[in-house]
Amino acid sequence: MVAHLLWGYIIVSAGVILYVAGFAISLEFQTRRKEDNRDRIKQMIQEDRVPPKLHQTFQLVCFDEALKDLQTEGELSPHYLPRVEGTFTSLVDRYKGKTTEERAYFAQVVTRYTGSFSKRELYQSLLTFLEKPNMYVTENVLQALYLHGDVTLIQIAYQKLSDARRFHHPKLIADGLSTVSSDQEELAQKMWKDATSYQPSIQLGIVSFIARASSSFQETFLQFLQSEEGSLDMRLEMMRYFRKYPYEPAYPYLMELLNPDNGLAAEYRIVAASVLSAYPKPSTIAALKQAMKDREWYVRVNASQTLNDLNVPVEELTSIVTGDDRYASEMAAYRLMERSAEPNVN
Amino acid sequence: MLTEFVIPLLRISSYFFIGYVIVYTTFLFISVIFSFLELTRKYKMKGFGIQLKHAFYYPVSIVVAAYNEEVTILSTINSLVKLDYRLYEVVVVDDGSKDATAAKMIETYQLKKVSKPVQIKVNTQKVFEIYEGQVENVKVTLVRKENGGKGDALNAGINVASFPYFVTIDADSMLQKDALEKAMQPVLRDETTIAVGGLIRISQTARFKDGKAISYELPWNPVISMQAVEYERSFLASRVFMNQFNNNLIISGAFGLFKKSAVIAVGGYNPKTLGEDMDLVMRMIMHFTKNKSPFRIEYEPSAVCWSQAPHQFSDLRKQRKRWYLGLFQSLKEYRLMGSGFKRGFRFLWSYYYYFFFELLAPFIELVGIFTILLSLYLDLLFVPYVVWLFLLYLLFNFTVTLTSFVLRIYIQDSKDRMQNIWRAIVMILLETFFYRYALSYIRVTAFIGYRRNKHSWGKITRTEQTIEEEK
Repeated sequence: MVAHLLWGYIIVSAGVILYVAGFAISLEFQTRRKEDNRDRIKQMIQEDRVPPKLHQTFQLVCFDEALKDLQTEGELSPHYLPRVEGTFTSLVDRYKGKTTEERAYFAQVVTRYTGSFSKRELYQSLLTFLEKPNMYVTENVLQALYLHGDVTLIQIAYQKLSDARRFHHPKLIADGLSTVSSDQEELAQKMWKDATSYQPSIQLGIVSFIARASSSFQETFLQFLQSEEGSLDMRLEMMRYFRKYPYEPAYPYLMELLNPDNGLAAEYRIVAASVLSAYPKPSTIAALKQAMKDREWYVRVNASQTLNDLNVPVEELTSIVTGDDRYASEMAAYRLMERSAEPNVN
Repeated sequence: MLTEFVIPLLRISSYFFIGYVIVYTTFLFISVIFSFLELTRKYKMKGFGIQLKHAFYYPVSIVVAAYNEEVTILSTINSLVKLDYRLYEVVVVDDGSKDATAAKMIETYQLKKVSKPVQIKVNTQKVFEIYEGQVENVKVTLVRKENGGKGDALNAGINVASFPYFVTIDADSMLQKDALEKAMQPVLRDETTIAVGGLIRISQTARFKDGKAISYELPWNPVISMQAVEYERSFLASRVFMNQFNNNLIISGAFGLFKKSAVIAVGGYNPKTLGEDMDLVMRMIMHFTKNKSPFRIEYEPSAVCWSQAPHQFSDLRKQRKRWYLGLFQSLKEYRLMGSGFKRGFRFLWSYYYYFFFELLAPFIELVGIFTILLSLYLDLLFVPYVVWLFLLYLLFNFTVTLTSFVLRIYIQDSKDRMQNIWRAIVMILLETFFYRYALSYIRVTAFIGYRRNKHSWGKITRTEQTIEEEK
């Protein structure tokens, strides 16, 4: 039995070696084959013909590379891609059943030629890729939708991801929405309309996008914050909005968030200590000086930084240095040192 | 009468030994094939140009623990400040060096002493001074502290680090230019990722320019080359395989990315262990599992760090002894992972892999050798059978190593030369007949002097990196 087992291992080892060697050799040939095929397809494109078998990924890769080459050389006719858009629409069904990499690649190719591709049908059919999403597939499909610019399709995509509880990074969402070519203010309003039905990562991404795109959400965000809904990250992002777009009615609320006895998570105080830099008032300074004694380190860091940003007179910081709170004293001393190291600007 | 007792014992021993080898080689075969398929899939992605290119990632602090690193510290920092990453800082912790590590840094980079308050998130030995400066628009901080060991130095770095993620690298290591970007990708893919391990390669086998390896050559120094071959196998095989099941127990101390809050939640690095890297990861696993918090520990083979390997056998001995004792300490400390931990603890099988095939392996090998010798003495040994077993082991080694090399040449786009494959074959032979037994000997004797030296960094001779200057 042992002998049989040993023979089995010898055969498996030999098989692995042959497979690996075969893989290495096939890669060498594939490179050459790809170059030859790409040149053939370039010829076909220039003759205004659609290459066959684009449902094969290898062929699609060669087609994509040929198009890129011709674009770079300035030899791609502007009428060609709109003509092949129908072909791409029919390919969606074929690629839907393929591997993750192939689906992600197909979506990437569509993204690349959006602009020349314009029909809603193609982009709507891409939504079916989100039924078996993976991050690369999701991001590439979303990129295609952003560039296409149909907001309804983007909303459907977000809803699909939310229904499937798929995480998609808020930074990717926010940056993606920033690339949509429609009016950003209008887009912000549309995105906010259904935002609360999306899952938290998408909500946060939308709020981050709104912070970049629109200054008209002050009242909306204040009402939302006061309703105590939404995830912590989303609420903190809304608070930061009031630093970029100061809003007087939000001031009492922000001051209350800085209060260490409000029973809320420390993160609110940390962010409030930073956001209040946009509200230069004596009451702000008094509250921040008190916040320098907060038990939470980052509240003290932000409060001291904000006092510096508000150019609080040196004597006020010195009074904290000589005060009875050791941690506040240390922080204030450091900020004073920072200030003295800054060059005098007259 | 003695033989009546010894012969059945020998038979049991032989069967046990064969069973052990079969299970181990089966595991390695499966993991190599799995890894091969996984990496060819990633290669395909790369061929399609599918990668997550995003202008902004999380800012990262690179924490470098240094002890007597005057030879390599400047070249390490010079490479670290040239990474392709939008926002990061470098924090070097001088753990009470007795050489000019700190002085060289202060003089070369014109660092200025600061009195910045530092929040003690994890306890460390006393910090004496902190210096700051900018090198090529990257903030560089030097922390000088009382000697406390590598784990303690890393904790000091965590306290000073400004950003939510940090990377640990050794002071004699160099990160490839895109290493941070690649290491961050698993975090972007899945927000529950708390740690990412990178691929460690041996810097003495490469020449560098602009933060990238421009050529690769296995040197004839067998100590270095055998380690290179060993690293290729273990990183590209078992790490990639275990990663598929979210079952990695180790993030190499030479290069790992961590979510700072997750590390602080478990109290930072344990300064009392020799294997602070494995200890941290296992502690994080225990903590997050007990608290039912979702987490992932990822391995990203495209995030490459070039690290100096010992080039003398005496240094290799110190290093491997420390690693082995660290493994022992970690497996002992977190033995709950191997027991009936609540609700089907998923790291059970990787715990037992390390226990049987890493920790006990040298002793089992010793038993195997003893069995063979005793059988030979009692004229019970079927010599052709032993020769077959040996040849099979050689073939197996060759298969796994060749696969690893092909993976690197074609999938990671290394500019290898065929002669490296031939040298690798020579090294496999040396490894089979010598290196493996030398390592087993080191491990078996590791416990000698354990109590005396269990917190020691271990002094290892360093050499300058081979870096080409831009022309």
